Amino acid sequence: MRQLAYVFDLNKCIGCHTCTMACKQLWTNRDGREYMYWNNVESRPGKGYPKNWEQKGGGFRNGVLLTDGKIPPKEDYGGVWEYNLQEVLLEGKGNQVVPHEKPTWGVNWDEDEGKGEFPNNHFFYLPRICNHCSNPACLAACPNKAIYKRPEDGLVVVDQERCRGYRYCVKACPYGKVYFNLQTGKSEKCIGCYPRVEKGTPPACVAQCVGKIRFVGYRDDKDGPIYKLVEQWKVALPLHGEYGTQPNVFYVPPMNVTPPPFEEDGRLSDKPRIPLADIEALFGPGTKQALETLGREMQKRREAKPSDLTELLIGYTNKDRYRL
Amino acid sequence: MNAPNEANARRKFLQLSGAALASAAVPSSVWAFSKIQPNYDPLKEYPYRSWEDLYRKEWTWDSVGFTTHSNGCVGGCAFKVYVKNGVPMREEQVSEYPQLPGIPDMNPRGCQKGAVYCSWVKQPDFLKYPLKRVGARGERKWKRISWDEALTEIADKVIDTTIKRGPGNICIPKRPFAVISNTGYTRLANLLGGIKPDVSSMTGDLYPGIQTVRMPARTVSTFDDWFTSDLILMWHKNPIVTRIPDAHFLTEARYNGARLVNISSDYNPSSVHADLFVPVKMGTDSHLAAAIVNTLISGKHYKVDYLKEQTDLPFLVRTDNGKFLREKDFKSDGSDQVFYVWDTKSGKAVPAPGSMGSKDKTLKLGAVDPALEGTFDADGIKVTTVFERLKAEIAPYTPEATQAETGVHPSVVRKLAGWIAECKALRILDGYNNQKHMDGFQCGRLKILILTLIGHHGTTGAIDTTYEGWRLEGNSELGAVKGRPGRSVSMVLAQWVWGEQYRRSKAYYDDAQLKEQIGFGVDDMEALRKESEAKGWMPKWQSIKDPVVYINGGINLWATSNGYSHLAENFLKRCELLVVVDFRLNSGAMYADIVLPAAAMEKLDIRETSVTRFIHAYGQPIKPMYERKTDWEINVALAKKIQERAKARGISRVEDPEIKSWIDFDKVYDEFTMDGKVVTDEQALRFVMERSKALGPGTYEEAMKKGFVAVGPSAGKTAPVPADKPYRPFTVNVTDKKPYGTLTGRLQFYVDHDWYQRFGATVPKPQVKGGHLGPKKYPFKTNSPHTRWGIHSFARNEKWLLRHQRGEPDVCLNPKVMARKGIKDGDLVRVFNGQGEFFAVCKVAPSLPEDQVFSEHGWEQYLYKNMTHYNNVGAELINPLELVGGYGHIKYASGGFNPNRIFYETTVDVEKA
Repeated sequence: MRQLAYVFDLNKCIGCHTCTMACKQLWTNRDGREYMYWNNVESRPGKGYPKNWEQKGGGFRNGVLLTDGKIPPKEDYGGVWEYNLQEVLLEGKGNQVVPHEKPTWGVNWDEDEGKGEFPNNHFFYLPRICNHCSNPACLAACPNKAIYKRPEDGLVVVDQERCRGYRYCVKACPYGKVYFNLQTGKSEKCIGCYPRVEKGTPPACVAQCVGKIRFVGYRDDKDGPIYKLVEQWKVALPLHGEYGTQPNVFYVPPMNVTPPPFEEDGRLSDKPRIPLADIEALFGPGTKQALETLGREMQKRREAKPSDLTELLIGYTNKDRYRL
Repeated sequence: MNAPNEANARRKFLQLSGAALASAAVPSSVWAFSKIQPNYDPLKEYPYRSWEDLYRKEWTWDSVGFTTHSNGCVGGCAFKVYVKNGVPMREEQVSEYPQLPGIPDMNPRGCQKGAVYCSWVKQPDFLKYPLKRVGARGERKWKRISWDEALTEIADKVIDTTIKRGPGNICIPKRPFAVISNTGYTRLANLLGGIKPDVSSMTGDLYPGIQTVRMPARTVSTFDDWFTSDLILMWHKNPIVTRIPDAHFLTEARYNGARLVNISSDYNPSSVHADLFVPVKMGTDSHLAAAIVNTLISGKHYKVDYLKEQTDLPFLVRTDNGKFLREKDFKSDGSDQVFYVWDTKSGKAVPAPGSMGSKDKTLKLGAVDPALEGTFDADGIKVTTVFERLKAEIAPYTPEATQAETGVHPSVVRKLAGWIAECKALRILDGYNNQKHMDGFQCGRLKILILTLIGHHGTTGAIDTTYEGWRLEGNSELGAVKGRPGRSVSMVLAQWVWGEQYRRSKAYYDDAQLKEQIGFGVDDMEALRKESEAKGWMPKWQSIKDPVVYINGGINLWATSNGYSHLAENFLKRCELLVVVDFRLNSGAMYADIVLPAAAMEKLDIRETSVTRFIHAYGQPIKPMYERKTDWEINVALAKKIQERAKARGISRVEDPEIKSWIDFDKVYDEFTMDGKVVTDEQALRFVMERSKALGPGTYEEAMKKGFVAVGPSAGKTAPVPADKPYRPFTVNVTDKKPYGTLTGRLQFYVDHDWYQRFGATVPKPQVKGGHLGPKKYPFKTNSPHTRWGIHSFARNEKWLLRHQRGEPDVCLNPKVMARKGIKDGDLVRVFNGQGEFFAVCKVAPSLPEDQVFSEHGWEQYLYKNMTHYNNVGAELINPLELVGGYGHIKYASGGFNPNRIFYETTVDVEKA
């Protein structure tokens, strides 16, 4: 089996959500999928989407599938508000255009909030799709064997004919990335844009990413950016690898020392802006080394010395970032 | 690409579904009612894959066209529109821009607003038919009328008003952000002797401070040039949020060795990828800039040879009266536009070449070696240099002395100044928010001085203000009508008068406080405005005309102002017919008498922003839906109707002596269309493209085939566009010693105009002391910068984008402030001052300092409780330095020099509603 994989460079992510809208317009703006964001971008630290997904349970412990996972309640996915534009603007009814229900939570509710006190607060952006895991919890949990990995690209998909809507997969995915379609009664999730990948076109969230943060290719392609960043440079790490699902989305962790925070009197502090432990909590024990490697290679460029790593991360053209 | 037509696709899908049922459904349903496990490992194989066509079918379309969405935006991005059953379904970037050697390419451009555009244009506020008001203004009760009815009413009113009230009472502001869409209104306004407001200063997007230094102020490198910088200051600009298509050049530059610095009053998203964050107190940036200049000068970190040749810093200034030494000081018939430097070789004052009055149109100094410093005796006149004056006036602004004002620790200023001194290619991204402060004028001059001192302006660096648009001679030709200049005005001054802003500002501001901080009060501003108009420095139309007929192309009338409701109320008293042409019913259009539906996506046009080397196509992926017309078609139709009505009523020429012009009502259509040459969109667009040197024949076809087309070298207004590297402005002034368009022919840092002397602003240095100008009785400053979630009001009410926010207008507060005020996240709050109020839900923002009420702008009035608006609390100020004219290059210019809108000198209080 070949495995398609992704690297998302968080030092390039600008939190613009173009990826989300690209996915939304292509797949999920209709037919019971409206509340689903197969791709979302969350501000971290933060509660994410669905709300508090890191506490929802699921995944594996010591290789054993956990059965404590929860199905997030509808409100944790956020409101799908409709607006009375027609009535107010064209029919003169009422005096305010408002959402049809009082908003209390949304897909990006805690945008740019993060943590800490000004001017020493911090936040960064974390885009998330299905990890197309090598050991998918959703697949393991399906009693109907309706979830499978496509042999040609390893993308994890839910058979929309075979699915019975038991939702074990929704419970089992520790990333909250499998959704239940109330209209069709089936579970649905990110399909890795397989219709596009089959034609050699990158997934929409990748091809439309204007921060140029997304790299896509096959894990066994030793000349490709995925292999180099994940295996060779070891600067791209899985999110919550401890969940045991072996994700195929890897992240270049955010540099935590810049910009420097301030001492009480306004001088620059030599402490990191984001505590290393907070980043390690997401990307595991490889974080420190990855950040050191990045720092070292970036310093080389500041001294006008060459660096293969920064050239790779710049990813000058689509060809440099996409190998399908 | 694979694009089966819809009928075939449907048949195929039915066949496939049938096959799937036959093969897959039976075994799975059998299993469902039994305990037999299917015998396969889904990690490795799967036997029932024919269902996969379900999603494959969703990625299909009937046709693909091109568009861009540059309304209100300077981005310029080529998108493909996928159309199914005649409906635009989704968009995706073209992503085929060529790469320049060694520079990351621009693929893909775009943002989430563009990506979601197909959804937005289907919302019910997008207009379908002409509408006529049947209720009171603002009541939103409409009747659908025909185009003929609408145009007839407008045409008759235009004719009647001109005849009864005289020419010049027709006002046509517009901002549709596409070439022929925009220029159509210009052409019509010129033919009708109409008022043409400067909408750039209206929105606070001018850089008059920098315009005193160089011409034009508003210009940028193409943004791929950011990659070549090794130090980038993001200052009053939040590019991670507001320059989404190009922000990657920042992170890429950083990987390439550049340092990124974010100078901002809040920890905005551009801080996230910065190497240094400088938290300056809001509105005190001029003091920080002065401290940097002070540090560079005292450390002698300036490039002497560059300054001698490229700037006016060696120019001689009389010590007795502070005026430049001029030729007329020596001979009575001498020029007042010839200036002097002190030649150290010959030991005497010699004329500097390259000034407006100089016959030598070069910066070449020849054998002359000008003194940068010193005092001299020039035939009995005691003189010194501009640099000496600057040094003396900037001396008090040390990093230590400015800390109280800016809140920035001296060690941080020195670190930053050190980086500036040692860098090889400095770039300053100078955002619109600078000149939205009173002290932005002087701060702009200081920022460009920083870049100039180290010799990077026009060489390795740049100060990127905002795009000026590529030079398209065909477009100028399309807009201009010989002998018919129309009436250009400053919209800030027009709204000041028509919107009774003077009265409102006087009631709001504490005059004693203003006099203490800036040396003049609101009464002085009004008197200076009148003086400026009387002297002919600023146009006076607002004082002698009314906007009786107001034809508005694509702008919300009140949103880009201060005192939203106050302005609307007073403005409408003077307006007898308000026509709004727009693609949706924005909250300004709620007050319209007639609303005309413009085509949004369905137009044929180009966008000419100079942030890339590409012109982008509005390629009309679908024809206008419902009864929409393109902006050009609307202007043509209105011209036609005016001519038709004039002929029917026996009306022909009306003289317009005020502007030495005339209006030929019975020929308006013939003139507008150049006797039938530019009737259709395609004709007008070809006219523009084929007559512009940087484009030319064949480029229309190329743009429509690819979605974009590259410009030729002559597109650059201040330098040629090179074929193999990014465009950078003002390079020819250094390489070819070409004079700048200023009075002195140099990057000019000294202005000896009487008013600049009077207000202590001859050199760049802070104008405001003591921080913010809002009345101190209100504890919070308002900050309403550009948002990630809209381009002004563009896309601000798009539902998928709203679902990514709080679903309704929000106002952000520091959590400590919320705790003190008993406000919780999500509570409705009331923001207020003596001038007005608005309501919004509170969002917690640890990124904010405690002194700000922060509400990103662009929200529509109708989204607020009680139809309030964030601009209701804002109050207007005018900087007299921007009222000046008659001084070489410092004179009224639409889009160049006139009072810029000051948004950020307002204070408020906030409470739980």
